[in-house]
Amino acid sequence: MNRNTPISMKLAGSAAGLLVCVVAVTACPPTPPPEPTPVERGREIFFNETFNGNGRTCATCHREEDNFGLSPAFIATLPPSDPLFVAETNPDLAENFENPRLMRGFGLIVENQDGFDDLENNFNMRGIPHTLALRTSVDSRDGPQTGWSGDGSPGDGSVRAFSTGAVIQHYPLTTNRIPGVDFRLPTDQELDDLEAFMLSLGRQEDLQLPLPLKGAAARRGQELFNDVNGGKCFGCHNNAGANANPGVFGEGAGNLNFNTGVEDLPDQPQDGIGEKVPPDDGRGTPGNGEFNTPPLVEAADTPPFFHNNSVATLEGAIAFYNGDSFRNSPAGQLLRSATGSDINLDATQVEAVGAFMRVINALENIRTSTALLNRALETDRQKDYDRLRFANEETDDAIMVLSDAGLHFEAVRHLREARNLTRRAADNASPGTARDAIAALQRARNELIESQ
Amino acid sequence: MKNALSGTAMLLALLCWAPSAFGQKLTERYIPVGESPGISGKYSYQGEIKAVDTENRTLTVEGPEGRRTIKVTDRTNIWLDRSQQRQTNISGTMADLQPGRRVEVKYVDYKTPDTADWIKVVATGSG
Repeated sequence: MNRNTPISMKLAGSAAGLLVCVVAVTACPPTPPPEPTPVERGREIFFNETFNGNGRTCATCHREEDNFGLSPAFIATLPPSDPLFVAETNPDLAENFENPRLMRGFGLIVENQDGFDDLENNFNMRGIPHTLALRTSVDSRDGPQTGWSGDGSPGDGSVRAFSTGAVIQHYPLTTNRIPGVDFRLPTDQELDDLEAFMLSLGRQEDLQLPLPLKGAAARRGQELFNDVNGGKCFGCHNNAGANANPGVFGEGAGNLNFNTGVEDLPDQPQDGIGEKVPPDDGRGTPGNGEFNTPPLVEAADTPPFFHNNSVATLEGAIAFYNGDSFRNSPAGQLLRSATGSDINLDATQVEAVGAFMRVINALENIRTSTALLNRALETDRQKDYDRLRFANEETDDAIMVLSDAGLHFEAVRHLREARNLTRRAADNASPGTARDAIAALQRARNELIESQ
Repeated sequence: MKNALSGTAMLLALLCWAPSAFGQKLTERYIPVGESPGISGKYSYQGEIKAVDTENRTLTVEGPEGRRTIKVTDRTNIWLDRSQQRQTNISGTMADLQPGRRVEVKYVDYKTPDTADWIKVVATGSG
């Protein structure tokens, strides 16, 4: 159409063009969004599915903001309406379901792993373990080991079956626990998806020690960790993970269970408040006193420690192995007979091992934070925001674990810079700022370890 | 370091060796017949009780895979599955194993397939 074309013809031409466009759009329907992956479906279930129960989800106890665990400090930040506190809000769960004082004060929840016939007397109070690095910490020569005593799953004992047991234990509307009434059990598809999601969390492989660490304290701590005459830690925590050292226990031994005497610790904090805390007999029914070996890379930012949250600090948990409770335990006695001596670390050595564990934890936090920032750069704004928020949770943890022990001030400075940049990236949706945050994280990492 | 351990390593290994993996068995009570994750259809079988020998403590079950006889020991857990009646599943006894009832039997392991680890019995009527 030229400049002299009548307006009516121009309009007719425009309408025809519009029609062509409409036809074209109608003929080519929009590309459907991609099918969610099993990990994405599992994530949705983990955070939102209540299984027709009391309102809890997996994430009620395994909080993403608390490293997929739940500490008493985090519990103190929750509102009274949080489904964690159903025993305080649902009269049907007021008795023999949870102990609110032990939950709020010590992060302990009720487990009936020895059966449900005597709920008033037959129970254990256990902390909530994180679900990070499950890919590396469940398999053993004797099959999967889940939960604090390795026997946390019904069915075949697998990570996949764990969710079924969790629903029965923690989700019911009443303690009658009638399937189809008080909850519904996860379907096979849901179990598959939940397993995929849980196995995707955290590290996917073990470290390979020794690492070329830069800090003198962490380096010395790593030596002690791997010294058969020092900390002897490597025997059960090969490469600071959850698996037994193959030189000690044979190839493929994997994740094992030991009676280390934690139950015999004197002056356990939860014992002094007048609430019933029965002795925990550990693995099996009746129990053999054994508990499962957890991974140590994730330890520094997931206190408190041990199955009953009896030790609040990382250095306290390391020092536990110097004490009589461990030395007199079956595991302590076997260690002595096998190596000729007890673990006997002085205070400076305890702190050195602590420095090592703090640095490897900070490195893992930096890895996770970097990965989240990189993924945020690839996705839409809302997911960006969530990922950036959790990236900062990880960065905050790295700052905390180093600062609390006065380690690597320069790395902490870079981490703080990364945190500020990540906040700005979240506020402005600025890819450049996110990239700057990644660079700051890399600088922090370079302070901790030689480049590999 | 690893050499220093080798002399005593296997001693430790032998003494510390954990027993076979086993799941949170007592939670099974609340899982209806045929729904045990990773077990049902793999390490268990379902069918109808055809005969009970209380003297020898054996149970004969007929199902899609044929007729099988299995030992019930003192360590065998028996549960009454009352979920169809919308009632709590409860612990059962040998007396609950009655001809005509539907059961799911999990055997101990592949080495001892003729011994029941647990048995779930579908309750009829009031139980």
